[in-house]
Amino acid sequence: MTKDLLELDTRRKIFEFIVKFPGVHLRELERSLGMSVQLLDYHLRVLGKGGLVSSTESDKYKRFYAGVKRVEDPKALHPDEKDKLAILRQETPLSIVLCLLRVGSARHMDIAGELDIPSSTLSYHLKKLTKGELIEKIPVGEERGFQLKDPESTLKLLIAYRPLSKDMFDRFAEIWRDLY
Amino acid sequence: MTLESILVGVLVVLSFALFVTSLISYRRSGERRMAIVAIAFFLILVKGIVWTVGLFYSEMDVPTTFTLLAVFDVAVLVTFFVATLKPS
Repeated sequence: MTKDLLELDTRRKIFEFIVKFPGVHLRELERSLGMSVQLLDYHLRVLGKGGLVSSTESDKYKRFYAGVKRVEDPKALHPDEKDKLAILRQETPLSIVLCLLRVGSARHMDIAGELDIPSSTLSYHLKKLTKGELIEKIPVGEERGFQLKDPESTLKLLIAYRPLSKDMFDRFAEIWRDLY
Repeated sequence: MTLESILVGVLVVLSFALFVTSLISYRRSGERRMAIVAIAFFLILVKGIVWTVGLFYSEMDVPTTFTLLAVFDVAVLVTFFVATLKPS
């Protein structure tokens, strides 16, 4: 059944891309593979019905992963890992995590200064990272700071599933997004 | 070749490049904000073309050309303003 599903070149290409970049969303698939949203949507449905691809909703994006259950497919991610990867696929949370990996622990104002992020934006992302159990609050002197909850597993996740690279068109769109 | 004509040439080339960039960004992201940004760069491109026409064909008088260019400037600023404030 699995072999039948992947017999079609286009579908196999989509599946292999999702295996390589779990947590990828539809628009990223569209531009990376040069396929239309309609075509991708059709094949993703087929792959989903066949149990080869699963999806989660995160930050208004539907993200795709290979396999449905870990026990069925060793390539499939654990649900906790999926949630974490969905957060790490976003640029600002990723830069916060990388900053904490580098410095160990830091206060809110230190992270804001280091990454040049407005305080309110940083609070929003820190909340998201705390809820996703990627970071935790700790006392730093008399103030409150943040550190990675499990630096080792986060690092492993980052090494195993590298982020998609962005080109000038993505960065151009981001400039206007950030202005709002 | 005068400095003015060189500057207008640079304006046309750069605005065309940015117009194409914003169009591709819109195609990829599907965000309406990028479509508005593309319109703004298109208006700058048209402004450059109008300016070029004004430079080489003296049928248009100077006040008319300047008024027309000012209209384009206002339209571009309004478009950028809308693009910046538009929620995604």
